[in-house]
Amino acid sequence: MSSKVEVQNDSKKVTKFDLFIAWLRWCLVVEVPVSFDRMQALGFCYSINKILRKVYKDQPEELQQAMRRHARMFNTNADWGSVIHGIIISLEEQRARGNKDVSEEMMESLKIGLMGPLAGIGDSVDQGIVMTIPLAIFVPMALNGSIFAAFVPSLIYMAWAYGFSWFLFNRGYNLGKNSVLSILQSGAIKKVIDIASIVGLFMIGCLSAAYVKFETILSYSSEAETVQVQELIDNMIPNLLPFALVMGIYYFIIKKGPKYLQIILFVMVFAILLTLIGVI
Amino acid sequence: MFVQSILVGLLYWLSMGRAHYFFSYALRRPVVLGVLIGWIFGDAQAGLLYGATIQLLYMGGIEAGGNIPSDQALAACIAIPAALLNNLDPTTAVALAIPFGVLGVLINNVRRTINTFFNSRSDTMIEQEKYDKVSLYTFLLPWLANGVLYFTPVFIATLFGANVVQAFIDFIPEWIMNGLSNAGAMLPALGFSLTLVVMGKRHYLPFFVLGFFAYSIAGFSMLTGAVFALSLAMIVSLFKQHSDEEGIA
Repeated sequence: MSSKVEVQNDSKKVTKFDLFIAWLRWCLVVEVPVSFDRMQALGFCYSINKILRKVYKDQPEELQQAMRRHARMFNTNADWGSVIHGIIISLEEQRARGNKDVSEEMMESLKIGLMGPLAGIGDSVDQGIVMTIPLAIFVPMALNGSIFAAFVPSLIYMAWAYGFSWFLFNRGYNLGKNSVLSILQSGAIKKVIDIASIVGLFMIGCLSAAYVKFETILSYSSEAETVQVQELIDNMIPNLLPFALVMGIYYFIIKKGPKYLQIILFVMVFAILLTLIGVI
Repeated sequence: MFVQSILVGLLYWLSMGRAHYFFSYALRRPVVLGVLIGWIFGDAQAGLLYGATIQLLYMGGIEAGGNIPSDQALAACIAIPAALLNNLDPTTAVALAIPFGVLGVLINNVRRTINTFFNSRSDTMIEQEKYDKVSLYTFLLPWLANGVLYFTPVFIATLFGANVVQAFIDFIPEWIMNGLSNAGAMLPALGFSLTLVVMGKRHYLPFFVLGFFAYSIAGFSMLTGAVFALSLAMIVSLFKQHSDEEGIA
């Protein structure tokens, strides 16, 4: 009798392979069914669909409840957020085994509580650092004609995102909810982000100097000679106009928010006017 | 031309349909799309040049919470074929790309509205305990619906766009074309400022200034720049840790 129960429990145990499939399904689907009202809810549900059906095999009502609660509003960073899946899977597994301490409210508040901070840190690290710094280094090489360099930033990003989300998925499953807190609060991460943002700012400085082109063709003639205004500026401080342009847009965004359309239109009209009156 | 248009349309769907998000996020860089579109039209080097130039505009494209600030893939998939077929300047290609980058945000909003329908279908399937069907409504059907939404405009634009662009360029006066080209040269400033806003704590801004003028004077390679930047950052963190410890003691 007892051996039969054990076998049953075994057939409901979440294996490494189940985790891998759930992770793969999450990566595949996360942003596909995104909607305004529930964001990535269906992506979450799709990811753990198979696992829920396995752990709640003989509990159809519990299964339906679980499906319902994981089709609710959810939104996070696809990479860093996968730690939540790991945690939820381990909790659902415990609940299916009869641990009634694991309540619906607990899982819901865990998801809601974690998805925001993970989205914040994940978006800025993945998109702001892992994608941007390699772009800063390799796009100039691409401009010089290297096809290889064109692919490098994307390959770096993919290696990082797939690797790190698989790592977090497992970590969430193995360590439960404490794992997230330990990750978010670890000083090492703060230090890495700090270093990376300094590197990023310096690199963006180099890139702005290299690729924002804004020079005046104004000149004036005195009795002796014709003076190019651009040469005057370059002798004082090189690249002053591009610098002023970047800083101008930067402070506009800080003060007025990211109104891209306004900025683009303004720069276009500004450039056309300056061209018309012969300044650039 | 028909086959090329289909391929570019599919490319846009793959990059913005978002199946395998990490892959699609990596694919939708204009610098990558430039090479691929270049291959489709038989001139990878030219495609690369257009793609990399358009990329400068979108250095800091952070999609916080899935809200894309502008659709760099649409910008690339419409501007690069037109630029290749008409032999445009890279900066003119940038000016052409921008409006479509803005338009793409609209397509994304349409997509997220359509997807609302799949939410309620999935709910129904859960109530009926048809969990396999739930999977159908969470991935395959939304993805195919995206496909129609994303493929169509790019396919049409590539098929007919080149002629329209040529007619447009012939039509507008030269000073406006020059102005647009100048704007294209200035607009990377937007991408860089945006990156500054997203990356930087404001008290780190001097590192941007340092990088800017160090490059203006010395003009080293970007890899050298990265070595400088990393050394600088590590020196700073050395001091920072020190002062933190003092603060605790």
